[in-house]
Amino acid sequence: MRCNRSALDAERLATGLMEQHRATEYQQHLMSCEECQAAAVQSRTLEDALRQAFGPVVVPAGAANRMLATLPPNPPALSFLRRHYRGLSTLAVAAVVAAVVTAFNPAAVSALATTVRQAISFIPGIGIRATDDAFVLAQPVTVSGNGVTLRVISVFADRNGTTLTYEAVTPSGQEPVGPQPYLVDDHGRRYFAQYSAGVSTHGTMLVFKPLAKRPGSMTLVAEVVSARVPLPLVRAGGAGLASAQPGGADATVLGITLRVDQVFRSSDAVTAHVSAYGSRGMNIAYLVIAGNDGLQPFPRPIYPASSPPQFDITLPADSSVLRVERVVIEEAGNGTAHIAIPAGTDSFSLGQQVQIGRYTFFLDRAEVMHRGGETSLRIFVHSGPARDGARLLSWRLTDFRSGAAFKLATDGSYEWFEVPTGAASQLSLTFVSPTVGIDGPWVVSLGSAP
Amino acid sequence: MEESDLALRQAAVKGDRAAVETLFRTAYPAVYGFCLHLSRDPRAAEDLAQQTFLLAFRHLRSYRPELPMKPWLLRIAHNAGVSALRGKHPQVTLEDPQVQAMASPARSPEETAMAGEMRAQVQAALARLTPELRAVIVLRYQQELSYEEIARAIAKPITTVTSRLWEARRQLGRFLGPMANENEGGAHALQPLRP
Repeated sequence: MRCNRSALDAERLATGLMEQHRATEYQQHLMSCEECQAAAVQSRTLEDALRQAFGPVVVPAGAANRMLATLPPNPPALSFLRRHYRGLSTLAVAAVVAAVVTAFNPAAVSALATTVRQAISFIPGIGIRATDDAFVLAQPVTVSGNGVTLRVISVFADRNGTTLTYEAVTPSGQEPVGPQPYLVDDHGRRYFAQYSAGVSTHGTMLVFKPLAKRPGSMTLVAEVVSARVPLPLVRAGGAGLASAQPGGADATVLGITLRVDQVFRSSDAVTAHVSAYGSRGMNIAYLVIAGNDGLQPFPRPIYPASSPPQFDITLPADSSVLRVERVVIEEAGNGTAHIAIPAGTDSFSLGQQVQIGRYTFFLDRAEVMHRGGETSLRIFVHSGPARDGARLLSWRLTDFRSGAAFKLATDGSYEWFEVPTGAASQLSLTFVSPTVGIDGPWVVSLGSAP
Repeated sequence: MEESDLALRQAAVKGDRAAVETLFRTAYPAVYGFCLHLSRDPRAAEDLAQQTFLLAFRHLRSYRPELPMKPWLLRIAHNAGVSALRGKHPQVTLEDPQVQAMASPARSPEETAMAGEMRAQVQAALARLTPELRAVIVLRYQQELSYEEIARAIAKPITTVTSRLWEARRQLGRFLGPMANENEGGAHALQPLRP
């Protein structure tokens, strides 16, 4: 049986690109999935091998002197254009502005506004992106095969890369098991996703490197439905973009403002582009939305990087409000704990309080675990009181970055964590980056449903 | 140290020969190391390093002294090296004493015995990568640059860095597949609690 977790997750974990909350969840998954364990072993082994592959370099004797001897006496002076580049650029911009002002009339203003709107546009499932020389999907494409229905929701392709959002479901509503789709260009070159940039309730987003020749012509190969799917792409700025409606509604709870910038409605989904404001809003790691399947996290996208934080949230088509139940923020701070492990017992109480930044949590008790010839300590914890409406959910351990396991309670906080101890009788722990949850709800209007 | 470096860089841009020599001499090992791992040929590496510093010297007046010099030099070395190496095959094998030296840093005998063969295999696998892919691996793991610094060094978006590293690691994983499998259960193996 093949696991539907991407092998890219193993790569992201090994190379340190996986966000903390996803790493925690993935590590839990690894404990029960041999296939992913094998992928993680492969990635980790390669990472270790590469880190050890390079040692000190022996510079040939006298090489630096030989290099210096070849240099002319003085570096050449800059050309006139290079010397005055900034001044000339300013003059050029001023000239363009002057020309626009001189030619001021309503038609010119309208044309300029259209240009600006098309340059900063909203791509469903992807968000606000510059659309200069870019292609988007003309309409969603649905293909069925092997009892699976795959629907390509959106594509955004330009010289910097290709982003594709799709969903694949079985009749029972489950995600099918199978390899990730990939793209093929006109020349038959295959493009595999660099990473999934986020998963919403209505789709998985894949990010590919740019197609070498014609970004506007590509085929999706989806082995899960045994099909090659030509993607009908049109230049950005077409009807699809015009369908996005401006938002503007916002809600503020405990100093964090969530504002819906734009809303895109299609026949079966509504996508809201949301920005976060306020000093605490700048550090949001993810939003938590109540969905049909329980609470759904929407991580802050790693691509494109944005400030203020921006999120694209896809909801059922009849949604008229966005309801964010919780925002999760990573704060600064660190704390330490020292634990003496008594000999001859497999369970002992701790009763220690740990201060981490502005927050406290408690180490309640510990159990000594023996597994596969290794010894570890499982420490049960609970969070202290909330501060300014924020409750401590989790943190990172500095000394056991790849050797610790965590179990989340249903409210998202840590229930226990486990660290390898070997034969040690003392354990020093350093906790950093407290991650806190602030409960709302933030309820923001999406405008009227169709 | 930062302030004195900045003062040196500012003096170098103004044409102060002593400042240029100090900065270039300090940066030489890093640039040479990058060139050596890229070209895998000590003589070619010295030529490439020399070409890098000559180009840097010619464009020194346009260098912005408020920025660190190493990424700027590596960017020049990368551009010069990748163009020169595109389509070429490695000039030396792993038996070359210089390459042996760079692949065998000082470690305990036990570590050396355990890791020596793996390092040799990784070096051999690196030689099979294209210059573009090899460059990002060397920048990441030999120069220990961040993704942002690599993006600056190769003058590409960070997404390109990510994709090149991913592709390079994918190819290396394929070349090194048997090695990785042999080590499963060994020192590098992933235990359930140590992903």
